Amino acid sequence: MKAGYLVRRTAASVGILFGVSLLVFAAVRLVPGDPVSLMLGKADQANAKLVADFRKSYGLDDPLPVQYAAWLSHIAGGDFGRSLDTGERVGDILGRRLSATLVLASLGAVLALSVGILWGVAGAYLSGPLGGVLRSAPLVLLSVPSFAFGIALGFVFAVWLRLLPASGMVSPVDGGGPLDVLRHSVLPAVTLAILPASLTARITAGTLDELRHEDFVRTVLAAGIPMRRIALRHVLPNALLPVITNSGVLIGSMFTSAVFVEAVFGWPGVGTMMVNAVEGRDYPTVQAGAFIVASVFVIVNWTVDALYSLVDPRIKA
Amino acid sequence: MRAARALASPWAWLVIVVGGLVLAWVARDLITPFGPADVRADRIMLPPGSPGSPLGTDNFGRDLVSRLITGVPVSVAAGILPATASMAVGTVIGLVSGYVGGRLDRILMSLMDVLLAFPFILLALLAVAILGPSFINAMIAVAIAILPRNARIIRAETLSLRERDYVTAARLAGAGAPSILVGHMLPNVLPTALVVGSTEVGQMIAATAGLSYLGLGVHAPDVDWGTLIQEGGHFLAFAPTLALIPCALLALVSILFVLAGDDLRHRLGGVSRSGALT
Repeated sequence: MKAGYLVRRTAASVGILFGVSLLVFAAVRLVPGDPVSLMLGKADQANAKLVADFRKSYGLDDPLPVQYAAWLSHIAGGDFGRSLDTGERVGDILGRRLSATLVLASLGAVLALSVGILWGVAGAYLSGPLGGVLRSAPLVLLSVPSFAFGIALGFVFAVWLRLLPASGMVSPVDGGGPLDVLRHSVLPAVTLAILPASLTARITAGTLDELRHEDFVRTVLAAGIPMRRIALRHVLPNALLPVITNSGVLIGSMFTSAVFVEAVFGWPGVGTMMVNAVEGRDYPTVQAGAFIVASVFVIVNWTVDALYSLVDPRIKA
Repeated sequence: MRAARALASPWAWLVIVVGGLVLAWVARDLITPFGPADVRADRIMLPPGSPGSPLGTDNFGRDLVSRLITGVPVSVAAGILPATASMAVGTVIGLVSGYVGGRLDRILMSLMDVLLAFPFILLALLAVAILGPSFINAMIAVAIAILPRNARIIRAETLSLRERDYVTAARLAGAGAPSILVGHMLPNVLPTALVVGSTEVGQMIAATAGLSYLGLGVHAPDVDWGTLIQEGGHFLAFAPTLALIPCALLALVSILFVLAGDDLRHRLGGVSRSGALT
């Protein structure tokens, strides 16, 4: 009965994925300048035969739709080309970088959700000045750029208190074990969690506030059920739904923070990879990174919608 | 009493802080004898509180006060210009898409959906990759990155206004689409555009400074707060104020803009948004 909804969402997601691939493909072709001038040295560019061979071997003289189809079929086979910077296969770089970002993001997400939900509940139910601070703090925190947080936290905990390392993923000399990675990820993960935690707190507090005046709450209250039980058993599960719906937004904002957090703490993830690739005009890497990250988000959003339709009985086909 | 109430408004603080910064920029020659790019071998890495350089100097002996003040117009423009431009374009797209409907609406909104599939910074990075890193391009990049959100918000607003009686009346009176759009729809979506746009000013200041921090915005010898944070970050261990002071200033200004935008939202009512950049 929900098949219709899922089919529509799936079709829309596939359409968006197609659009993403077109946009990423077109973006790199919009770059002024010729790949020839980027990849061949000055002396080689003067050699007409060499340039012609180069264009032929890379398919640069083919019509754009043919180039697009070739690019897409390579991607489907897991071939993202080679980095113009290091000559390494972009697929290998991406795999390594994505897993580093994933370590950080999963720690950050767990932290953000647990702190954010507790924070939202406390903000919604506490009265007095503390409740007021808890309710208004998320908006303030949301407007501070994450690299400013990162630098401040790095200064306090790495430079001042000397408790935690401020850069890298492992210690250069004796490190490398899971514990070492965990120690290095504390500061970046906490910095990464600030933004999504604030968002979650804002969403949770807002929903709880609206739900308090709902009929079903009044009904259970009239039935003599204590307020604390109502809050935990009846209101909170309903307040979690918007957090699920907004998880696409949450994860997207986490990626934006991750780019800055990785830059501050020298974390070897996708964010630093993209920044270096844009800076070094390493277009195969930019193209593959943008396509893969955007695709991951389309798939995440599709999953969220699918889950949501299962959780919320009000969504019908 | 009235003054006390005025000070409770974020707008008062915004005017005081940003006005003060702009004044400082105008009077920069009176405030400090040093130019932002004056390299002084005899004044390298002075701590805050040094005579002549109350906030200290960097590894080239350049005065931090002078460099912070030089960054004021850049950083304020970096917020206002992209937010305004992006909201203007988003309003046009949203109005036309929502009012005309049909195939045009589907095409425009599919395009916005594709753009929305990219997290904010990824779209900005992609734009910088095409345009090349510079201050102007960084502003264009963040404006593009926020565009799909603006267009979607204005389109939703347009859809709800389209069926109002006064719009129907204008249509029955024989008004064409352009005159209805400009005369009846535009004035009614403006409050939403204003509220969302003003909240975005703070976010754009932070985002453009962020691109500079990543080395993809303002480049030396030009200065903005993002480049100051990036340069100062190298000396966090022995001269932390070089990065922390610009961080604090950037955070303060973007917080004030966001709070002022939020205050406007409460005054004008409606428009509930999470305020996140995805």
